[in-house]
Amino acid sequence: MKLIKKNRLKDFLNTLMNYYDVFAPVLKHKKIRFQKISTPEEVILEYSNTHNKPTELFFPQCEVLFEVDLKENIPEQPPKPDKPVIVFGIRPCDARSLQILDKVFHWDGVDDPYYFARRNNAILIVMGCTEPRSTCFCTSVGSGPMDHNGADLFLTELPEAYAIEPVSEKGKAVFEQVNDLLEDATEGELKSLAELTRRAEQMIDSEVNLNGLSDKLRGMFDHPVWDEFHLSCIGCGTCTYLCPTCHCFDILDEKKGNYVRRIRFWDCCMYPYFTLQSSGHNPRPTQKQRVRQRVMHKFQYFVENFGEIACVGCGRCILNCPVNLDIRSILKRLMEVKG
Amino acid sequence: MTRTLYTPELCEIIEIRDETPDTRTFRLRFVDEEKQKNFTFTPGQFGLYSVFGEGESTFCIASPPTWKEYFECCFRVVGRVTKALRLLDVGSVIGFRGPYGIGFPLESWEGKNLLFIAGGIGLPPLRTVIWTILDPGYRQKYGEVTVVYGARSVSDLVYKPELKQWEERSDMKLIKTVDPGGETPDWDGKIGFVPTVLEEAKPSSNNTIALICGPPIMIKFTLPVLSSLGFELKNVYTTLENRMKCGLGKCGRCNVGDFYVCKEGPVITAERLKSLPPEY
Repeated sequence: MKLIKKNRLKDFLNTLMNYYDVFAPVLKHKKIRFQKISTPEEVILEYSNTHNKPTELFFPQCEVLFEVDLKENIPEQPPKPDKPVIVFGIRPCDARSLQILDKVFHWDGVDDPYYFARRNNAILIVMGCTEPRSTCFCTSVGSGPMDHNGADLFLTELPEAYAIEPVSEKGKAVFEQVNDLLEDATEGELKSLAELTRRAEQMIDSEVNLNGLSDKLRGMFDHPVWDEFHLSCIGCGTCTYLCPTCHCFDILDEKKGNYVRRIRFWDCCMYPYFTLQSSGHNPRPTQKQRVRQRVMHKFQYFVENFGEIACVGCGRCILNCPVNLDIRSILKRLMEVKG
Repeated sequence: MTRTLYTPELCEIIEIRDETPDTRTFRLRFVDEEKQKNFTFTPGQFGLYSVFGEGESTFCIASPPTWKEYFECCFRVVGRVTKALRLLDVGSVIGFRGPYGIGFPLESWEGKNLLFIAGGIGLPPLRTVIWTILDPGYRQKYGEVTVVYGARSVSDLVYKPELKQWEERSDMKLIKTVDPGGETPDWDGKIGFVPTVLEEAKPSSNNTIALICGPPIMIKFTLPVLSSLGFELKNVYTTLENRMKCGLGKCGRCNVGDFYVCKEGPVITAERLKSLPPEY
């Protein structure tokens, strides 16, 4: 096991910045989010998780699909990034959410070109969670604070250093690039790593048993339990904009003179316009239907189409909901009622 | 020029026909001749049509794949894109992405009779099938062909010249109708709602596939009539038209339960539709 001493982390990041565009958690408008850094000093290391979802680095809130000069009428795609990217300090739940997005953007072998241009260009240095939040429930959805799935390199914070493990081939290449800065772990440090790993999983105290939920939900579309959840929902869409597995988008054109760009941007199933057809017909006109769609999509439809649930237990929707709707309570209630 | 999945092909409008006061047909040809030559699709598949600067809109391909020189779409002027399309002239260039989705399983229907039931602007998605099977290369593969078509009024019937052609043909039967009050003094068709007219016509369900497309209210009242005529749900097909943006199963908008209209649809049997949540 190799380590990087805390006082050498600056050199570590500087080395990475020679080869890569490095994105890391920084403080912006009083919130922590991932941004490209220009110096290691910008990086915030004391954070439980970022406010924004880091999936925005791969599937941004708004992006240009192509541009058209109406005089020429030929669509042109914006240039692709040329420098490889490192995302430093992404949490295991968020790394896992990218694996879920991969499935959507690769459905039936049809690759979304914009998403995969960024995704294939990026290396994930995942930072294990030693201080999970009270809203975290990753262990209930098949993950955990030290889940290596989706990581290229895995870092764990010890008292004096970070333990560093290469996970993928991409990660091994980076490992070689920073090899000079690494040291071997002492026996004491190895022990402390094992202890921290064990403790982190115990610290996740909210557990929801989801065994058999998706099968149960299949027959529950008309169940009266759906009359309860939406009552306090104000349809603000905060949950979807912060959810790292939410991927719904809209496409529209912007025009100035002869210059046109077609953009795509995040959309939200909590809004009535989401499904409104031009005839005026709306398949999901009520908030009850929209809340049900969101829960069913993540815990049943997604399982049906991709074989896993589309929730990583990051807790952002719980932490930020203005009316304190808690997905864990919804799931518990769904598990309790008679199907 | 780099192209992606989301970049439309350019198509020139080579002919415009007004079907009704608010419904228009475009005859389109790919600007790239190779594209036009290689363009194939299954009846029932759809495309996304663009006016650069206004956006993209989803309609079925309304012409049959047997027409090789061009293809057609038919749209009602209701929103931003269709309003912009309405302002275009012959010679204008629009964008097209497609074909997307899965069309009607025509091959599995060989040897069967076909019953088409359409209302208003629900005819274009079925017209592509009708003209395909009327093609000399296909016609003998199918049994009797019956079309029941209705609209609110005489002026709301689309493809009027073609309705006339179909009436004159001996290898198919057309029953046309308009809602009560929608007739004109010289109207020679039936007067009544589609479900009623269908009930009176009593088409046989024996060895027959029914295709139905029209406003939800028409479909709602026609399905029980088809059941009473002995049609099994698995032999009744329709097409869904949920709002969609990408057409590729990514934008997450067109799903009815776990059924993504853009990928598994838009064609669906009444049997499968019954198993889905009523969110269409």
